[in-house]
Amino acid sequence: MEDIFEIGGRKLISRFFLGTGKFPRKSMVGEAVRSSGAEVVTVALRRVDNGSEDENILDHIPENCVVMANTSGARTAEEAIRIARLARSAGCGNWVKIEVIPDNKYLLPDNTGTLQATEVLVKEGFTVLPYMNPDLHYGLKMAEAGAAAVMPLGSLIGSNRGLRTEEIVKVMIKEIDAPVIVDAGIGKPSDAAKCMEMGAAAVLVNTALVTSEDPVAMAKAFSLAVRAGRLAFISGQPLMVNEARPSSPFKGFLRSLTDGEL
Amino acid sequence: MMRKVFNEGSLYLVTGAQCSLGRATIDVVSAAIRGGVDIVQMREKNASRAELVELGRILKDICKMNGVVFMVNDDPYLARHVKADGVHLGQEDVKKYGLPAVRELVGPEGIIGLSTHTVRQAKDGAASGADYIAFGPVFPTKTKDYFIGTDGLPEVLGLSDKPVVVIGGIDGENLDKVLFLGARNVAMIRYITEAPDIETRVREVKEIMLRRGSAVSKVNIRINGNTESLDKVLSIGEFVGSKGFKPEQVIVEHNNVIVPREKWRDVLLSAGDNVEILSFVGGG
Repeated sequence: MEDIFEIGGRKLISRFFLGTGKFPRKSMVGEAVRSSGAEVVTVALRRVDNGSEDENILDHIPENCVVMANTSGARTAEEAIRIARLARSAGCGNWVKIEVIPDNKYLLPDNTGTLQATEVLVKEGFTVLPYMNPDLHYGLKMAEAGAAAVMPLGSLIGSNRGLRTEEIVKVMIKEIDAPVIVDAGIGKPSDAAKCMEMGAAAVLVNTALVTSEDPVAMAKAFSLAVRAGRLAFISGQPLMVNEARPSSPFKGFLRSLTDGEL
Repeated sequence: MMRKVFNEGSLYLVTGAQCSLGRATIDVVSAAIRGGVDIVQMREKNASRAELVELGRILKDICKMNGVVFMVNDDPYLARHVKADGVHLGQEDVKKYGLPAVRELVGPEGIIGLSTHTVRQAKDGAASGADYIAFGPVFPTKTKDYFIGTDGLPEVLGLSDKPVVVIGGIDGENLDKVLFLGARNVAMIRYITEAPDIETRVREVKEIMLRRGSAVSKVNIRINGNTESLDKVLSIGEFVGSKGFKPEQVIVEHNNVIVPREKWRDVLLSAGDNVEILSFVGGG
């Protein structure tokens, strides 16, 4: 059975979203997309001062992928809205990952500004995926405002520290109707698998790939872990108990005669 | 090397009390200078010699104070008398005085302008001792009983490095046409002197010249937060190309408005504009 999910009207199979930042070569982005089968990739928008760059990141993203621009660099809702509009005008679709980040040290998002930007951009027809601090009520409000998914962070951006926000993310997954996609901090394929086992709709990974020795192979490892975790989730969570339960029949053992005395 | 007599891109006012809606020429010139006119020629056909001397001295002072070039029509003696920056001659005046004599009168620094009405005259004028030539009347005008059209204009503009001032019936309607043909300097009489609000009229004309790439000033714009000085007015498309960008790889925001790629050639950058040029990069 195909396990298809849908965001913003787009049917997706891969639940591994790939961030394209910090790759040593732009062409490696394309290789990682192919090795992982990622269907959603994020990009950022930056000022450029001259035309010395001869290739563009978009040249390396396969055409069937959804390109989701992030609003990184935005410190306020207004800036995020401006960046989103610019990105859409560039003609690569209307998906936007909202980042409203007022601080440079922890890069923690401002949920209020993120919610404001979500409200405005949804009305303008964007497919909005807000990156947020894990919080049930903000998550509910963002979903109510029309966010196509909510993206709570697992731990600080780029920290590779894994799913440190597990308890809250678990609640969000349970209570919010919109897909919950864990973004930021996922450091190992096992972290990604854990998110998926919990019922996350997808994970977004970037730093863990490019801080490994082989980003292309690591992308594949993540996508496999995501598939494994997802399959585990839809297979039903096994019950945990405190005593051993043998996995083999416990009758008919081949034993010595003295056994019956126990 | 050729002497620089005035900046290319100048707006040149020729005065005329008879067509100033009853306003004094001094007031007309003052308002035009406030609006940004670059050159003023005193051309008062109905004034006596004494009146011209008096008016000329006053206009000279006003112009000098504001860095505006002041020219006197027809009469090199009068020009010298009022210490004008130069004299503008008609074809008859050249015959009457001879260019060497005029040069004597206005001195080596004095500016000699020459009216020409045919491509032939313009060629001769460009090769003569004149510092600039005026070419016209390119459109019908009440000042003359004929006009020559703009057919010869491109050829005349390419004759030499000497400035060419295009004149004759130029108004808000046809200004674009002469600028489109390459005119850099434009002379006007009635479109300025008969304007209800002369200062605003001059400002509007200068704005059009600036947008068409002909007016004097450098164009200072903000690019990605830095100030940059352009030598001439460029469209967004031209600017993006001059920077070596591949058009399909950049996004342009002009004064906070996103400009779609197909509109780039229609949007001209003018002074004070704020431009952001952005591109997609890797990001998480």
